Amino acid sequence: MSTTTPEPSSGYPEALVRKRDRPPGVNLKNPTRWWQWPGQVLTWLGMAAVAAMLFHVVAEVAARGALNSPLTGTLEITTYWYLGGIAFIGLWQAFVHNEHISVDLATARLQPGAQWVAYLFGAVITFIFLALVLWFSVEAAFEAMDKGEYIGADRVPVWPMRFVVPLGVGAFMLSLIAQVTRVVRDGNLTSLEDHHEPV
Amino acid sequence: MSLSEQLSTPSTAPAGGQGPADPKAGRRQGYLIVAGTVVAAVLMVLAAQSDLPREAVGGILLVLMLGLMALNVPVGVAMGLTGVIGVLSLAGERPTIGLLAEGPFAAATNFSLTVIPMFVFMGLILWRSGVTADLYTAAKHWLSWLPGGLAITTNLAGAGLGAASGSTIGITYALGRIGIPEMLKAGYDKRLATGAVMSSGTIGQLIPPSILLVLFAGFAEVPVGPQLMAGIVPGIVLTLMYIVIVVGTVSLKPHWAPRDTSKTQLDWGVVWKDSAKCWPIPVIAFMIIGGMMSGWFTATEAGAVGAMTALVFALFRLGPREALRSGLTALKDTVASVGGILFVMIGATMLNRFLALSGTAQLFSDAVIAAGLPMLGLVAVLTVFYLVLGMFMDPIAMMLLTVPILLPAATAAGISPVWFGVFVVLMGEIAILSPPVGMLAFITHKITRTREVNLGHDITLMDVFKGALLFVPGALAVVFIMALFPELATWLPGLTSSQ
Repeated sequence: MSTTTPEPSSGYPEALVRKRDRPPGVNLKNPTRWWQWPGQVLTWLGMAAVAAMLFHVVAEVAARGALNSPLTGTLEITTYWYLGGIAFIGLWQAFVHNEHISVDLATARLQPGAQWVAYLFGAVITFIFLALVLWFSVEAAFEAMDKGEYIGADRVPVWPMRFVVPLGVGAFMLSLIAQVTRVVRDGNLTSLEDHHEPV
Repeated sequence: MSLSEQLSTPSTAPAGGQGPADPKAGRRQGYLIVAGTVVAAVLMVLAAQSDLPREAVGGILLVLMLGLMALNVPVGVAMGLTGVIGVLSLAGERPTIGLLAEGPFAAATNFSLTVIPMFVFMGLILWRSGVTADLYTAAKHWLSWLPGGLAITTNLAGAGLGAASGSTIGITYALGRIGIPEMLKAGYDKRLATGAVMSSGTIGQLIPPSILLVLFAGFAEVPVGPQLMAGIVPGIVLTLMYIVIVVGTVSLKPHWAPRDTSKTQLDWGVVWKDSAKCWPIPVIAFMIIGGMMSGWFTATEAGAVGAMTALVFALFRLGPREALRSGLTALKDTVASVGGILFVMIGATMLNRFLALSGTAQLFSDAVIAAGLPMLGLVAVLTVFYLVLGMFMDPIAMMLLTVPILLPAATAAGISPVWFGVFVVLMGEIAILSPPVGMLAFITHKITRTREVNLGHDITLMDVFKGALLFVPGALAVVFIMALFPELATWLPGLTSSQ
């Protein structure tokens, strides 16, 4: 065990660290341009969904314990409304904060130019997949709306949350386009590295 | 395959590493790789449309998926797209449209998964409120007299944090910054210091709240509560095993951890005061574990009550202003984290639809039954398989990819799904310790790059990997013990469900 291992190139270990695992340090800056507002509202909605889930479930526990009367539809609302919202807004947010899980063992060893090409390939594949999901989830959402889809004995409506799927996926696609535009213009991947927040 | 061989192969030598990199270098190589992949993919998809047996289509498309992953396509996309292509090949257009329209929503709105945002939020809040340092200080008061006391302190603090947070890397970060300088100051060997920190991180995913165990439960359709309970005893055994390793190492090489000879008298007032500061950890652990065991709470309720307790603690600790700020930041980070996790879940669910059609898993489990492997033999094979796979893959991706294929085979051999869940999570934790990817080792190495942590010692990546390898046998020993005594994992959940 006397051999030494070369130090990893910069960016490699960092690329393996997803932001969820880093100490939090996001600043909550307000948007400065009008086109940033829809994204900001969507972010707030996602945050609100987490908070609502927390308080709603605690209220359920309290109501059951203290008043012996559980709230109606907590399970359905928690699953379909809050988790549904967190999931699909989160899909987009995870992209923005570089938290999607990928395996960069092979590409990290390529030359910078090859990495750039591989990035573009991955972006195209991702875009195709998202576009497919977007297209068919819009159809599904309108169908569910027409039927007035609901769930459970308490008839909790589900159909409005069907629209969060194309909303989140659409936002993801827009952010992806913006990122690809930047990367193509730069001709390298440095702008992605800037996305890693300093720890 | 000796470990030194593995380590001595140059792990990262990108051409761009020498001298200033030309951003355009290797573009031609990149185009060739991508063109090759596209041609191969088209051939594979065409082959999948032909009259091949279903199982062969399954195999071909799994290779395609691994190729996409290797090219850094997000794991969720690689899995989901493969699922779509597969269902299209085997079942035709209508089921495919159904999968695209329904699959993502159905996968994400799974009641079992509602506990994940609560666990993530709770961990982030506790972290912000500085409970790590408190826990370390308190554990040090109690344990520093032992041989290798500071390393043991680190391990037990890791177990304690594991009862409040489900993030391995989070725990490693927090403990590394406190524990490594403390140990180096006391004259500990750098390998022992870094190894103790990394091993501590791996305990967190076994002791509830554990995000990986929740994901497994949601995916394998096992009740979440019992699945979380199943990790407790193995988590404790793992902690003890790490302590045994520390004591063993120190008794063989006493100079790795010099005894504290200063003989400062303990001030019991300080000891109790510092210990009392850690109240949220036992309180939250009691509420989550006790609440679920007694049947008061579902897992989600336990998570929400735990997160609320963490918020109250943060309010006391940080004051209303700072607590609000931390809370908002944690909300935002929770959304992104959960999104990242659920994307893989969505992809895996879509892939699973295809795998079920292809019968690949059935083929596999038939083969296992035909081979007549005893349970121990099967576990040995699976352990080796996961060790190899873990060299390349993230634990979440590794788990969600393999569980649909391997779980039926495992249950056919008499392994309980709950046991299998703990096993897969433990293997994932070993994977992030071991070279060449060993995410945890890279992170720890990065933590030691700052002077406040390394105190002027030169800590190489090699040192860190050696530190990790010191503890990997302990984790493997726990796998072996679990295989000999499956009750370690199945006993507590059995108690829960009987109520």
